[in-house]
Amino acid sequence: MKQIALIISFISIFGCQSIVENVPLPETEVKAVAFGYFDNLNLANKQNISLTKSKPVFYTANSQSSDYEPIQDALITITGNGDNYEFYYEPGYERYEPSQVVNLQSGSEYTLTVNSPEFGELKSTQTMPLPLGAYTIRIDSTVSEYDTDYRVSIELDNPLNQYYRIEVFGQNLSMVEAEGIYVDREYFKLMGSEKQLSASFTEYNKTFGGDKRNIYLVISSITEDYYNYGRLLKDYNPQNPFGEPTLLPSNLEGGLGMFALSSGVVIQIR
Amino acid sequence: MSAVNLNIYLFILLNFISFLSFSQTKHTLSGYVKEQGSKELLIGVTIYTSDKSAGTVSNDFGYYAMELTEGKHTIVYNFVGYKAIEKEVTISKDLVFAVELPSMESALSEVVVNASKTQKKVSEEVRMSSVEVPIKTIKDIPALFGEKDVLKVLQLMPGVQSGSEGQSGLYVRGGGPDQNLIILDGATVYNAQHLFGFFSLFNGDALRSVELVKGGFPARYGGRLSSVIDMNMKDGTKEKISGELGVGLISSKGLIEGPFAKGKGSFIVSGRRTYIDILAQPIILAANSGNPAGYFFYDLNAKANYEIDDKNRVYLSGYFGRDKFYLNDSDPFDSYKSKFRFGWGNATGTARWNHVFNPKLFSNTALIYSFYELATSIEEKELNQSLFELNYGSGINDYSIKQDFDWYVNNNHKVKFGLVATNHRFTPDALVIRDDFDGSIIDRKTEYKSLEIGLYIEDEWKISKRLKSLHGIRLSTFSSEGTTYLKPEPRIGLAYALRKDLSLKASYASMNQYIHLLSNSGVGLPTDLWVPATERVKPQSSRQIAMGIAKDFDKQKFSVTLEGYYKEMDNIIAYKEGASFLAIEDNVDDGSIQSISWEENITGGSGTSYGGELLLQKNQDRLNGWVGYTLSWTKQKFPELNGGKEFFARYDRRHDISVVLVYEIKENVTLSGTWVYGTGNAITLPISSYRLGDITSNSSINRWFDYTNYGTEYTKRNGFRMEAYHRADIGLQISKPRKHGIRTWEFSAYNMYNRRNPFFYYIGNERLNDDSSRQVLKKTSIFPILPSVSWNYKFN
Repeated sequence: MKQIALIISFISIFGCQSIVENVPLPETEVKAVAFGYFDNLNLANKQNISLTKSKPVFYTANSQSSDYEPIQDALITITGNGDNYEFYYEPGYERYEPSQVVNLQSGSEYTLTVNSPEFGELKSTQTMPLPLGAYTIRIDSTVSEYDTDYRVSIELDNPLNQYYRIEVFGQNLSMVEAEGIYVDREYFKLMGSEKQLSASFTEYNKTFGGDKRNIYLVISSITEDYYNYGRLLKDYNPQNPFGEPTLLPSNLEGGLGMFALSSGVVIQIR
Repeated sequence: MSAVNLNIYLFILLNFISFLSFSQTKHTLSGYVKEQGSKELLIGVTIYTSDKSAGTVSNDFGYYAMELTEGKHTIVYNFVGYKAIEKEVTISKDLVFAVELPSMESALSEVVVNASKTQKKVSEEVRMSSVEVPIKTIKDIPALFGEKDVLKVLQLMPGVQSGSEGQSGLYVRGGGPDQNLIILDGATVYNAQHLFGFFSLFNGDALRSVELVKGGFPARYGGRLSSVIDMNMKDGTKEKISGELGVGLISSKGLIEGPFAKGKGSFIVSGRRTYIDILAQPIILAANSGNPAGYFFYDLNAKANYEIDDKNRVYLSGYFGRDKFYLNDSDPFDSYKSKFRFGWGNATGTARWNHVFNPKLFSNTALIYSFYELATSIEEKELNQSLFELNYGSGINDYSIKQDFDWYVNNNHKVKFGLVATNHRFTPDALVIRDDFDGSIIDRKTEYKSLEIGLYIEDEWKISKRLKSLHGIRLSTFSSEGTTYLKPEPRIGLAYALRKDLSLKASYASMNQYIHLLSNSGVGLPTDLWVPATERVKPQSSRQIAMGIAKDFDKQKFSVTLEGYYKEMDNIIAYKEGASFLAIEDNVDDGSIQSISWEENITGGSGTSYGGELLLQKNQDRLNGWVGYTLSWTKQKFPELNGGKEFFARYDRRHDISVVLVYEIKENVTLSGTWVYGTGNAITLPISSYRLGDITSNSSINRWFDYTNYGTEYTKRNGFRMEAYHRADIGLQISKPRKHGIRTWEFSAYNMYNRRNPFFYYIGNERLNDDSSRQVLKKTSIFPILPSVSWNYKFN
């Protein structure tokens, strides 16, 4: 591919380059960007919200660094179903933490509100997805010298939701804190009378030798917005010069980001 | 029975009744129309009685037939670029009557005072949305580096747009380049481009006719949604051995033609090769440590025909062309060596047999082969030990059998029917990667075998003196990998003459396309992949209606057509967001490379295109050419793209103007010029970046990109317009008779006012006074003013 890139570079070098000045560029303003993920499991203690500023592409220094300024003075709440969760800024992690454990009820509507002096209000209202309900699961595996292939098939008795995710990750038993050794996920949209979710994944034995570990399978009902976001992010590779642009969706009015809700179950394979 | 069904049944019944002829005794006048001297068969010659009581048009093989009552008739033979002639015939039985028309060039040289160029009357034709481009016009119009290019001339027609600067891809009425059926002597040409689309395969030297159909498709055409470009190669002169030589800035070309078997047969061979690689090789060797590198392309056309007897002719024709890029790298002080090869090419072959069963029934049987291949290879060695090897290829291989019949039922009905069966073998990707460093190997070959069959019947029906119809139906089937599609495609075109020189026209065409082109470059890269419709990737389909008026201004010798169209397209495909055209991705977990299926990389959607086209055309006298204007909208909608919201297609172009003028200053001096203007292409532009939150996993660690990377906020998909494109070209041809032929010098300038049109946009840095820099939008323009000169010699 380097050679193909060279051909294109050849055109770039021998072509005439100039700054585009006779076409008005789209107006771009700095926006507040919030991300929050909440589920009924909280396996990795991720009940928090990140809040940073976006950087315009044009007429700024190169912004492809990770230095995005956090917004520290916002008031953040999640309200709904009679509950009101407030968040405070934790400078050490550069994120907002809840004052109490967030416990969202399936089927209830919740609103994330972010108010900051500089950017005003960001808002998103989402419904906590209904739980998985009854299901039948079948897991097949093929073990080889270096890896183990798993094929997972889940038949939902009565799907209550249209969007799902299957996530797989491992955890070393010797570690005090949960540490994943392998993560993969698939996103599903059930059409019509479909009831089946199927995924396959590989555990690379060679990487971690003979360490004992647990493998967890998390099957979740997710919101439509989160499905669209996760599906696109799964193959997101902005560095690929031949890739199509990925327009990541946002569900926050007044800014960018994603208020993601999920309702799942955990299955421990080993 | 619904009203619609009742109307259809009545239409069929009337059609059937009118097949029966109850009038006085009639006989058939038939034969071939040829060019005087060379005896080249002429396609599309209008033939009619002087009282206009009967008329017809010569078919793709120069054959015509018409019914006449017993007695004397004056027959007029009329064709663009030829002197119209009249012949007296006495009909008492079926009569075979061959005619030879003098071309304007020969007519003028013989000082035929009353010779005048004739122009086809658009108001008399039942068909709409189609244009025939005279080969001479293609040769007169100035071109990039002086390389005459059929497809780039077609881009100057209303309803047809180019892609990027200098590209020869065609975007017809909102369709993509894959939706054009390009036919050369009946064989499909899959990738009609050289040098990444800057030149097309066809320079016009070996061509006899070029026709572009944008809508109102006759039932004999099928397999693509948006256009048909039907090209026929010359047969070769039967007069004497003659030829042409041409030397240009980047290529040279030659053509030889002549008779054999005492004039019963003739042949033509033409070829072209670029030689920049040869001329520049000393510089390349010096700059590249003595390692050769370069690029070239070549074309070869050949055709032979033989007239067995009055009723049987056979033809053998073929095209072969290839592009090659090569780059070697080695260091005399190092043991490392690498080779890079990148090439693509087409080959077609057609064997045809024409047979006249009786004066009213003409048959054409053809065996057709078509092939397209892309091949890339990279080889890296250290101490003669392989380090890395990559071989990537894709292609398509077709074998077809075609049977067409032209049945001249009577003067009110001309029926064409037939079938074509094509056996496709697709190889969307064949990839072998051997990385000896990490031991990873990919050996993958995807192959699909498919059978496509089209069965058609069409009838050009003169319903009354004022009303004509061209209606038909095509039944197409496609079978691939256990999935079979069967689709009827009704077609109808109507023309109503309001006056002798003014007609109203309307058409409807349903089309299906069973093959897709995977392309995300938009630059006509040969890496675009042809793939078949499968169970998962459905065939594309379209429905197009068009209405218009056609007016001939006989005194002023020009014609005007004004058309409006509305086209819906279903199951068009696009790459998913983030997908890459090679369908290879890095495995972030262990750093190896893995491959994914092309079907996983694409997504299906729908499209709509509508607009209006105006064409003012003049093909007579010393000044000729045309002015075209298109106002159009093209939108697409994919559930998986742009959040499921409708967006403008990349080549949606609101305004498109082209002006083409050719002026014969005197007999041997021709001045020509073109000016084009087009609204800028629609692109997706990044406008801001932001940090992604850690929201995708229940695990405490994620893939690296989940939290260390950044997201990009874009405009809406294709929500930003590049600046408008405009350019003027000018050319001057000076011919002079020499001892053995005619010599022509051509001087031309592409982009004569040096407009910096954008080829592509990118984000770049601008250095500021305080030594800091900021990001700006930059453009790359590739063609400034480009003067060129070429020399041609036509010997005879």
